[in-house]
Amino acid sequence: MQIKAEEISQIIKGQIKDFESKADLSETGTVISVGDGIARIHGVENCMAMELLEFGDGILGLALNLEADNVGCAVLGDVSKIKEGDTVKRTGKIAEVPVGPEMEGRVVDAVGNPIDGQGPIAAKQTSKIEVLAPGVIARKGVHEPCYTGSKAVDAMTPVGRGQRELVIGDRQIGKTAVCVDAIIAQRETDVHCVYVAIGQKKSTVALVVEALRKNNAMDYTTVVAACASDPAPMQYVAAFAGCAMGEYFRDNGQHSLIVYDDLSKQAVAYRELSLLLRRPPGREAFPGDIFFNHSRLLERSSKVSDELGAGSLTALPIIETQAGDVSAFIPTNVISITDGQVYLEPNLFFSGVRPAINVGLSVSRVGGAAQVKAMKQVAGTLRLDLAQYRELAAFAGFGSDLDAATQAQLTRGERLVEILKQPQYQPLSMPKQIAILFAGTKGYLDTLPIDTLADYEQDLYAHIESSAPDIFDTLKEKEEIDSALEEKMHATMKAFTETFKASKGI
Amino acid sequence: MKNALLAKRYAKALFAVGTEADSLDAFATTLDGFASLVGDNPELADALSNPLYPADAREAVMAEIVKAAGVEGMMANFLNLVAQKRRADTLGDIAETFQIMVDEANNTCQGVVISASELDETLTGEVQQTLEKITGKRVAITTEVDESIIGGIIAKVGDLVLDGSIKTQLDELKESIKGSN
Repeated sequence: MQIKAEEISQIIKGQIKDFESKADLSETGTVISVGDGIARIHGVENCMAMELLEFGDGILGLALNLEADNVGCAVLGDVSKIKEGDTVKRTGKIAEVPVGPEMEGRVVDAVGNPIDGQGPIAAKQTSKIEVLAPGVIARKGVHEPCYTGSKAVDAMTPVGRGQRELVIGDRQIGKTAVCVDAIIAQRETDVHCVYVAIGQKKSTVALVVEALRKNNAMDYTTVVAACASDPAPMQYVAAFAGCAMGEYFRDNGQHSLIVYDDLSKQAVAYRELSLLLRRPPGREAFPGDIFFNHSRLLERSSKVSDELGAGSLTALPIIETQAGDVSAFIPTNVISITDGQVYLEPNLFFSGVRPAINVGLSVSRVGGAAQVKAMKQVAGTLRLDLAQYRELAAFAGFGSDLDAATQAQLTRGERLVEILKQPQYQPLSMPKQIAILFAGTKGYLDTLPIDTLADYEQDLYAHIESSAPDIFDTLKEKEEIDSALEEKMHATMKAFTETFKASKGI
Repeated sequence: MKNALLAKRYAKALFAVGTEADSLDAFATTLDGFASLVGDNPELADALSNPLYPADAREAVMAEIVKAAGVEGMMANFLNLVAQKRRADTLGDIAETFQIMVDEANNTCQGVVISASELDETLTGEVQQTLEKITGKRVAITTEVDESIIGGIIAKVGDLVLDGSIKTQLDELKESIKGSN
């Protein structure tokens, strides 16, 4: 950008001319003590709960504890610049963040300031970070699917728009990968995404942003980052701030998807904050309202009624377990709040099943209603087949003499497990998922060796796209497999399987 | 501020006694005088509260000062009690809290007006009237001169700050120029 010195003087001149001089009426208090991200303030008598207070230097604080003679305040910024005796001003504003389409494609911190070095955000609207979730009348049942692009999730634990589906598992087994894929899968849809990174390494967040950018997913995604080095109040607030950004779309009749990565860290940040504010600790030293913290956050994800524009906010909260312990405090809490969970297991991950979804322990409580008919038709028996396979596989390990029926079931099961594997950053559209699941459940894969299935899958998509594209088109349009389509699919699969076999020399 | 609760207890007791005797304002003046006396003389504060000196010696010091200052009756008793209970170091807080209680009872409040140069009486009166209009209470004004604010005035009443100083406006102008780029 070229700008002359003359122009700069003009701009400044204009601003000085327009500058309104007015006496500034404010209510103030003084800092009694400060430290660990918490400041106690004397004065500011009419301060409201969750009000923003202004320290010098533009640092903001969030009034959390209103006591008889002081206000406990979480500092949203650098505490080291605040001294005892400093003056604190009331802003009269309840904590809010900028929202709107201008936020898309940006990386912001927990209070909505850009941190991606791409200049200021020209958001026209702001929204309070703590608002009540839509009431009973304002809602409607979850009925449309929100595809995550992952075959295993979409077929067996389908997520509907407005649903809250927990992604739970140990560290380093692909929880973030499932969610990032879900964001990438929204590229062809009208769903806006928010990715909230809480308490993560900055390098990890940078990788996620990079992956989203590479897959053209940043165009419709806002990343809210409160990293491990940010103070606890920022990590606590980030989830609510991200939610407010997602709600903007929901309330404007659009659809949005929010990923909280992860809520365990948010709970830990809130515990730190609460202990410093001297709230009494409860189980695992978490404060008494830790359940409410998560429930009021997740309750804001909803499908709103037609009168209110039929928008939706789908949530994919992530919880990290310690050594697979789902009965710890925070995991049980969040499991009970959400409408189902996707459970990722280390054993599966290390034996090469990726995404490492444990089909038996994963459920979706409302997603079935949101599944399209075609998906129900192919996935209906999938869960059962897999359950039987697991049972048999454990049992078949002991003996070699198996009858033909058992053998067939084992063959089928092995192949189903194989086709549910999926590489990272390659979400699949619904018609493609249905095509491969159709091939699996109808037995076209039973005669193929397992190690050729990955190739088979790619070749199948290419084959259908080139020689029978109307299969994908009809699936997309009608969302069900009628008899005519079924016949056509059978014919195509049969022909393709033969040529595939011939090409591989089987 | 750490003794806010303690100061409140003592101030409340003195306030109750003062209301009965109808001498709140007199009490407030005396207490304020004593608090500033202790505040301005670190040696005196030390003599009254340093545990190195025996307790009865400290009490005796207080009794002497009370006598010398010509304080009598209940106020004298109160000051001696404070010394006896070894709370002489909270006198400042007690005086402050007591003043707030008395002000509340009288529907007044304390205001401070800071200006760059000495204000004349009509101007002070006008400021007082404006502050009274804003707070809905009678305002007792003390004036201070602080040249660093360059011009205009800053008026403080309780938590309320009315800032019309040139310094603040210049700061804001600076921020607004910074902010728009």
